[in-house]
Amino acid sequence: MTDPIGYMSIVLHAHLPYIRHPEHPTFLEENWLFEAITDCYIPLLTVFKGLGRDAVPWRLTMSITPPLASMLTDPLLQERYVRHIEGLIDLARREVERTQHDPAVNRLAHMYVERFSHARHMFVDVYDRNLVGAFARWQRKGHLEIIASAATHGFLPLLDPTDDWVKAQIDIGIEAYYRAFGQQPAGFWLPECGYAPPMDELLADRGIRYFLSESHALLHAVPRPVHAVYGPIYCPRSGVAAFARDIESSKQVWSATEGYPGDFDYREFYRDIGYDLDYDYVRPWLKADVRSNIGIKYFRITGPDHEGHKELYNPEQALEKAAQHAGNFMFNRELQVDHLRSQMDRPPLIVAPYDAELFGHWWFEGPRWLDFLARKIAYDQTKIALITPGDYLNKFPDNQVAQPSPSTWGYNGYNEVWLEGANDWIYRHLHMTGRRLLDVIGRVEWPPPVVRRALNQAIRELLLAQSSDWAFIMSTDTHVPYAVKRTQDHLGHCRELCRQVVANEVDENWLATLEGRNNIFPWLDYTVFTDGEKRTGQKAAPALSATY
Amino acid sequence: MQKASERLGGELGAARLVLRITDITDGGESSFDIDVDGQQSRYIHLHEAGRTLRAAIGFKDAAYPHAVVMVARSNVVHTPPGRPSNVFESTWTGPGLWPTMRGYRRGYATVRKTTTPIDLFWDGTVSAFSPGYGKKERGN
Repeated sequence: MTDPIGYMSIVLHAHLPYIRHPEHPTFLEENWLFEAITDCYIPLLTVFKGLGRDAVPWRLTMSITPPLASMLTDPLLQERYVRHIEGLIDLARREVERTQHDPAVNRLAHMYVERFSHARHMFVDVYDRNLVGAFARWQRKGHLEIIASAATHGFLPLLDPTDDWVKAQIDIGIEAYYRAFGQQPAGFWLPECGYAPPMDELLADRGIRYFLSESHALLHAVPRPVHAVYGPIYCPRSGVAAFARDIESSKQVWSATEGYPGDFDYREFYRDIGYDLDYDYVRPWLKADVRSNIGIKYFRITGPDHEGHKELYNPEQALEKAAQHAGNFMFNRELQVDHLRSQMDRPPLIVAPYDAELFGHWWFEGPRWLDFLARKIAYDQTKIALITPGDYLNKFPDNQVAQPSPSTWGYNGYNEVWLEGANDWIYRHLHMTGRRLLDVIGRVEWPPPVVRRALNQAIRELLLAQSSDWAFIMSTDTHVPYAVKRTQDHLGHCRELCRQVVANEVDENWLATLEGRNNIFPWLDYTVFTDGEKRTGQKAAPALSATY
Repeated sequence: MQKASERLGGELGAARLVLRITDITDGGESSFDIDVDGQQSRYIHLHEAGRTLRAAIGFKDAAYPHAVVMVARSNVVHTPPGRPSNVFESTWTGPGLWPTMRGYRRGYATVRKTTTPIDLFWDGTVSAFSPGYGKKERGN
């Protein structure tokens, strides 16, 4: 291939909040993980496998956040997923029987039997239940650049006025990355693309070379970046590179009105047999006996109205449309780099970050679109090439120095999704509990093992309360009571553990229950906040590696 | 609190607790007050980008409506610029600039360049990233 005149980085941000409830035999919100495994992660891995088999040159960037990686490697959730997918295979087979006199629907029911059986086969037989390992292999093969993210996807701009917990989210997130993927990450996904100084300095302290941000982080940077969003800038105080999202390519995929996923030939997400069929028939597959999406959907979007008449889904027609859309996307990027290259002293870089769960879950055909796109870029043109931000920095290390603007990728571009009437109450509790916990940690000298465990668990509880997902869910209309409860529960656990430590009356049984339930980061040690040697008498700081 | 109590004496009970927001952008000083009592939200809507602000919490005596007896004062905060910068002078850094180096930062050389930003609808971002635009969804 001749040298391209431009590059594109597709970045998939894979994240789900940490939801694991061993205290219940089944739990509705655990389905978020199971649906993402079936709809998104396994289809993406299947696409990667196909590209690898056909020796297609491809490069992609992904963030797999610590909560998601923890859930994907958790034996309890792995076991529950196998049970979940086997239940779906059973239901899809019943659907084949139920629809046997309706050939058009029946062939779709067959499609689901195949799809779910394939997911089970890949999960159990091919990947041995370890999807993190499966993604890590594509990184080792040089196709995927997996970047780190904050420990529990805390919304960093509002997390802590003194930045102690911002630093903790970054440090623990990078340690979790190192444990999951066995190497130093080149880049960092700031949760919700939430950037404000001095985060870049904290990232530099951990050896991070770049982070991704929303468009106006660069467009409103000071001084004005010569390359706009089509090349990185270096933050003045840290030297960390900031890349920013290209508005045009994002809109083509994200936009609810103009984006590809809304095409009338694609599968309709909102028509699911969990709502459409007789309640008693679907009830065994519903969690908590509440109607919800099951994952079998027979209709295509058909028209602009979700509630209106829907026609049956046609997989071949949808696939053809995905190929067309991939071609259209590539064509537009070619036009874009043609225009940009004439004004730049180097090939422009188009950064296109998306929530990974869009691909396959919300946009059923998304993984195949990505498959077509990678193949078309490899073989149908010569102007653009796929690259990762890390590789682009290696190729073009001389860049402008400018201070990025504080920004997020939420509504209006700043903090107002995570700070509004429905969720503003959480911050005073997060801040005060964080101060309280650091104060308690600072006062503890030579703690016995049970106190160490209590402090470690208190940190886990606070980190879980800090997840940006709860504030986001509170700002929407669904699952709000669950998000409120999670926030209150984790904060309550943290405060009670602090009280017990100070009063020297740690309830070991209750502590063991919490450790078993909220078991994220089992390796975490409170000395991350102390000079470990003095406090514990041990030489090495056990929680965070000094060098990677 | 003690000072406030001394200053206001018996009037303290009747005084209103207010948050005074002072805009100190470019050395100026203008302020507005927000009554704390009865406030439901714990954040402040600001209508202008690119400002430098400081907040103080204190008591306002009905007899002296312009004066606030301060209890605590915040650090200085800067709101995001909200528009493309008018600073065009650019500094570049990186290992490839060694031959023309003027100085060092983090092992890299730094040079100043006179370059023109690429042709773009720069001011389009002002409406895109300001209130009243877009949809309420992540990544939009």
